[in-house]
Amino acid sequence: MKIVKYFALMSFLWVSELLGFELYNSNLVVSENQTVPLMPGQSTIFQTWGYELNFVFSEEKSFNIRNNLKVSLLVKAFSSEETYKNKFLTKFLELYFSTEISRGFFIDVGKFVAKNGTGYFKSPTDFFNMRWNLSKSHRRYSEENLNEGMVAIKKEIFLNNLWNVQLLFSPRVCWDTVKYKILSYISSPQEKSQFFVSFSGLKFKSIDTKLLMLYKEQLYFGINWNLTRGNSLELHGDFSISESIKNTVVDLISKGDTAEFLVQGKSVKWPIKALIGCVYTFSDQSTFIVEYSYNGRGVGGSEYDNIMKYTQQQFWLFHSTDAFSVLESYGIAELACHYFFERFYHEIKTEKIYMEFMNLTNLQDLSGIFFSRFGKRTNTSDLSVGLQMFYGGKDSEYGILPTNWKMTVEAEFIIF
Amino acid sequence: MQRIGLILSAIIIIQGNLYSEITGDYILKKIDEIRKVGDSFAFEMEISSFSDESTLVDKYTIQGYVKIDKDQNVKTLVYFTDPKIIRGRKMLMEGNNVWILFPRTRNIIRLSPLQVLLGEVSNCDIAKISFSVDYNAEIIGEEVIDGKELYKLLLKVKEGREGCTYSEIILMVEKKTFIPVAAEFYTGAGKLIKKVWYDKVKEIYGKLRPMRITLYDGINPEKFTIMEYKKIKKLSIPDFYFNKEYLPRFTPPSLD
Repeated sequence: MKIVKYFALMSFLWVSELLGFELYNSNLVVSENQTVPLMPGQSTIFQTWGYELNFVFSEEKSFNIRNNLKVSLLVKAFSSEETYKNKFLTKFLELYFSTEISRGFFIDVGKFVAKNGTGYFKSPTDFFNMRWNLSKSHRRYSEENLNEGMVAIKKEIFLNNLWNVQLLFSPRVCWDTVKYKILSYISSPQEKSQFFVSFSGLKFKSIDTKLLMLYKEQLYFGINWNLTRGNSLELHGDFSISESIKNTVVDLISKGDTAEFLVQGKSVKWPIKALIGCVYTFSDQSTFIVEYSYNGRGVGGSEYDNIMKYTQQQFWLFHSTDAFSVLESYGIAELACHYFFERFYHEIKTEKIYMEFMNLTNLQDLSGIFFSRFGKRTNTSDLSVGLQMFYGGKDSEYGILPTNWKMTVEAEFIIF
Repeated sequence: MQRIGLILSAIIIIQGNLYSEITGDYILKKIDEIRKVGDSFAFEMEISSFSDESTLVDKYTIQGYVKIDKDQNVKTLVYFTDPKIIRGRKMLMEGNNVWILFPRTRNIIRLSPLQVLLGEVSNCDIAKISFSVDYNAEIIGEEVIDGKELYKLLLKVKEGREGCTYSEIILMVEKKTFIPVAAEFYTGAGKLIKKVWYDKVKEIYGKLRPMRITLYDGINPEKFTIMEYKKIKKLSIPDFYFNKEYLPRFTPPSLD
C-alpha cells in the first residue's frame, strides 16, 4: 500500500517540472527548508516539486504565480518499530501582479522574492534571504523553491540603461494561525514591517555598484560591487552594517562545586559583514570560485567554547533537536567570524555531464561542509546526484552536528 | 578657356575622391552598413556547435535585441528560447561586460567573457556589429575565390578599443557588394583563434546580407559552430531594457 501510494505520487511528479529527493542519515537536518526532528540513525526522504506560471497580458502587465508543493516522507531506516509518515505541505511562494505605470516605472504588488548581493554562497547584503545558500550553485528550481517570498509592494524606476531605483514596503502581517489555518497556504506571518531602498548605476570605470538600505526596527546599510578583469576573471564583494544584532551567548556560572550554563542575549553594536570573492574561468570553461566572508557578529574565545560545551551537554542529556537551539539561533555560517568557500565546476560538453565540488570552512575551528554533485543534462531534463558531508571535531561548528551526510537526487523535466 | 580649366579641375577632384574612397576604412564602413540593420533591431539566431563534421554537441536558439548608440557602442540583450532546459536564460552584453540571469533564479550574475562561449561563438561574435569603430583597415591584396573578386583587408585594433575585440583580422570582402566572405581572427601574438565563413546571402531591408556565419576553431579546425540568422526585424527598443536590473522583468517582444 505504501509503495502504491508512493508511485501514485511519482506519476503526478512526472507530469510536473521537478522531482527531488533528499536522503539524510542524521537525527537533525540543518537545512534552510526544513528541520526534521529525527532520532540518531534515522533517515528521511523528502520530495519537492513545483511549477511556475507567468501570464503575460501585454508587454506592460504580467501576472506571476509560483506555487510549490512539498512532501516529506519519513522513514525510520534502522528502527525495529518501522513507521511511515507522510507530511504534506503546500504554500504559495510567489504570487504577485506587476504593471508598468509609465515608461520604465513598474509596480509589483503581492508576494514575491527580492534578492540582492553578489556572493556565491552567502551575501551580507541579501537582507531578505539571510539563510543558507550552498544549493545556489544548482541554479535550478530547488534553489528558488526554498525561498518563500514576502508580502510587499515594490516600486521600481529605470531612469536609463544605467540607473535603477527600487523602493519596497513590506507590512507586518499577522493573524491567528490556529483559527485561520487556511492562510498558511498563502503566506507565513510577517512579524515586522520593512522598508527597503536600493540604487544601482553608479559606475567606477567598469565596476558595478549597488547601494542598499533597509529599515526593519533598525537601520541596515549595504553596498555591493563587481567587475571583470581580462577574459577570465570576475571579482565581487559585499559589505553591510547594521545598528545592532542580538546574539545568543552562553555563560558558565559557578555554583559551589558545580557550574551551570546560563543562556542569555547579548547585543553586538554596529556589526560589519563583508565578503570578497572571485570567479576564475579556465580555457575549457571550468570555473573556480573562492570567497572569504567576515562576520562581525561572530563569536570567539570562551564564548565560542561555551556554546559548544553547552550544545554537547544538552544533546547528551536530552538527545533532542532542542540541544541545537543556540547554534540554530545564529544560522549557518554566522557563528564564527571567518569563513572560506571554494567551488570547482567542470562540464564534459560532448556528453553533457557536469560535476561540481564545493567546500565551506569555518576558519576558527576548521570544521566545514563538503559538497559534490554529478549531473547529466539533456535538452529537456537534468538529472543530478549530490552528496553533502559535514566534517570537524566534536566541539566544532559542523563536527558537532549529528548529520554525517546528506544525499540529494534531483530530476528536472521541462514539459511545456 | 577659364571654363575648360574649371571643368578639368572638377574632373580631377571627382577622380581624386573616387580613388580615395576605396580605402580599407571605406570598405569597413560599407561592411558595417550590411551588418547592422538599423540603430535598433532584433534577430532570431540558431547556434549549432559541432565537435566534428557529423557530431552536433549543442544547439541553441536565441533572440537578440540590439541597440547602437550615437558613439556606435552596441548593447545586446539575448533571450534563449531553445533548448527547453535553458529556455528563459537572459544575457545582457555591452562590450566585454556580460550579465546573466538564469531561469527560475533572481540573482543577476556578472560573467567573464570566457564564460559566455557557446561552442566557438563568443559574446563579441554575437554583440559586435561594427568593425569600423574598433579597427583600422588597409587593403593588402586582391584575390579571386569561386569566381568572386575579393579585397583582402588587414584590420588592426584601434588604440583604446582592445576590450571586446580580436587584435588582428584578415577579412575577405566581395568587391562588388562589400559583403564579407571569409575572415581569420588573430591574437596579439599572431595566434589564429578562429576562421570564419559568411554565406547564405539574402536581401533584408533592401540590402544583401550574409545570414549564415560558420566559425572554425583555430587550433582544432574539426570543431566548428554555425550561427544562422532566422529572422531580422527593425524594432524600437527603449534604453532602459539594457539596464542589467531590468533582466528579471524582460519579456522578449515578438519578432513576427
